[in-house]
Amino acid sequence: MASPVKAVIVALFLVLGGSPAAWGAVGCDLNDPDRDVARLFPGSSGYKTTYVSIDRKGGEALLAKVETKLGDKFHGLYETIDVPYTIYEILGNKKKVGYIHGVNQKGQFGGIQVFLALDLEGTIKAFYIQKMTSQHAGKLRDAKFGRQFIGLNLKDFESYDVVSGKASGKVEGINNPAPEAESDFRAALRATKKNLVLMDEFVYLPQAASSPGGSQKQ
Amino acid sequence: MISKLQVAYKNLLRKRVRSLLTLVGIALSSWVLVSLLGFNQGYKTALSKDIDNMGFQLMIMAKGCPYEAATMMLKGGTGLKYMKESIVGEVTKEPDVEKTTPILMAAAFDPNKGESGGVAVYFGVEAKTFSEMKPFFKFRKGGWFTQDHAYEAVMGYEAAELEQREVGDMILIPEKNIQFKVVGILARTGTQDDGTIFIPLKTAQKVFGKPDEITTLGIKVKKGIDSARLEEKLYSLQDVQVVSMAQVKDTIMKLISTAKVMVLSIAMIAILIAMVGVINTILTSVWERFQEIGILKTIGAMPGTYSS
Repeated sequence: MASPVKAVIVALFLVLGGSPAAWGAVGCDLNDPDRDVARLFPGSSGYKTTYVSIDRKGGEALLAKVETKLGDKFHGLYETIDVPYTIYEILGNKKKVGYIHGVNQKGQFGGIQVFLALDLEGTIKAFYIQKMTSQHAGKLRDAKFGRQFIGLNLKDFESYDVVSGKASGKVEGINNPAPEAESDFRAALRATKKNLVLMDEFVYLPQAASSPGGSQKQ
Repeated sequence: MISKLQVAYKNLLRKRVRSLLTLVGIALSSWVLVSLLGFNQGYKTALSKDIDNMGFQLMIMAKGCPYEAATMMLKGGTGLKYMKESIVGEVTKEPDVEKTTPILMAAAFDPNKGESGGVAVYFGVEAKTFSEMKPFFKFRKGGWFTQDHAYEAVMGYEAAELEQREVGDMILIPEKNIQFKVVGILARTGTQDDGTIFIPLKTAQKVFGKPDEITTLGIKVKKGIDSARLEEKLYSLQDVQVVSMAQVKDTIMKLISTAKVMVLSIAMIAILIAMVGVINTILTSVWERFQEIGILKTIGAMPGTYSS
């Protein structure tokens, strides 16, 4: 007869086998928020987590707006209106100093998770690809590649065509370190634009509307 | 004369706040009790379902395998033990065996998964025998592999969701730099299969350099046959260990029953707190009326008079 200890281990294997938990849900969360927030936002003292979705925030009308600003339709089985987005509100000495937000993006060989650390004005402070499956993922996940995004904002990405990959202005200056992985490079840019558009709709525009004067920031 | 029920009702209305707080206390205790028991039952049912959905009653593994399999899952370690595929023939010969399905479990390290890399696990299976063990499998899109040696993959629902894969997309085993075409995406099953990537057994053996080797053999016992008897018989096979799903289930249930004792203890405390609360309320309302009843008695009230 199999020993109880063995049975326990097999049970553990059966329950954890394939690690469904590790696959997570449709959302995009930092793997280790405590460590990652400190790394992406040096000097931060803490963070608060909020969850939003296009569905709850504005429904079909908001989806249409996001798609228009992105310049592409949400497509595929997993880029849907009900995807939950995790927004990390970053605190420094109990004051809000910025945000970290990640999105999933379809890549050539798997899902890509692109996180942006943004200041209160929506300018990129850090760029981080948490996950990417590609022979050239190392080059695209390199800090050198990520540094090219620092200082850019939604305005810079407005002219970037996510369908054709045509860029102008500052985005045109982003160098692809892995020309062999052009589709993953484009996916990273699309994810960045999608991330900025969503943050604008979820956070920056509502904030601007509720601030004295109520002017809308683009 | 009014009835005892009317007395009780009137008494409740005399101190409305107190009555309300007592009711809230009872309601909260009941809620804790129901929640804890519900959680316990739900957990038990889910685990039981997970094991039943394995589709087979017995599993044969190379000696030492379960320990390393668990390590592989938890820590990303490798070094699984393998057994020869020829064991399938030996086991199938047993008259008590209805079906068997060989599985080769393999892991590949992906350095670009998270900050310090992660392990992707692949299950090499035979489409025909494996699907027979899992009649509840339904495809959301596509179907099983077209050939035994194809470089094709079937993904569990959550695996496909995380990897944003659709039928026709490609996946890559990073360590091996080998591409597979996704030919099927399973509908959600609520089991570990949701997070699994299945590839053809023969291809897995080739890709991971384990020709004619497997890690697991799932066995379905014929109806009405005592699986414990077959288990004893299979122990005569060399260098393998037989794991009975019934025993795995029993062990889990024992673990759960330990937790159940703790849960019931908490529930009992909740009930005791509620009981003490109710007794306290009743006693307080009785003691409060001692003086009132005393005065009534001095002016000639009989026992039946207090309640009128």
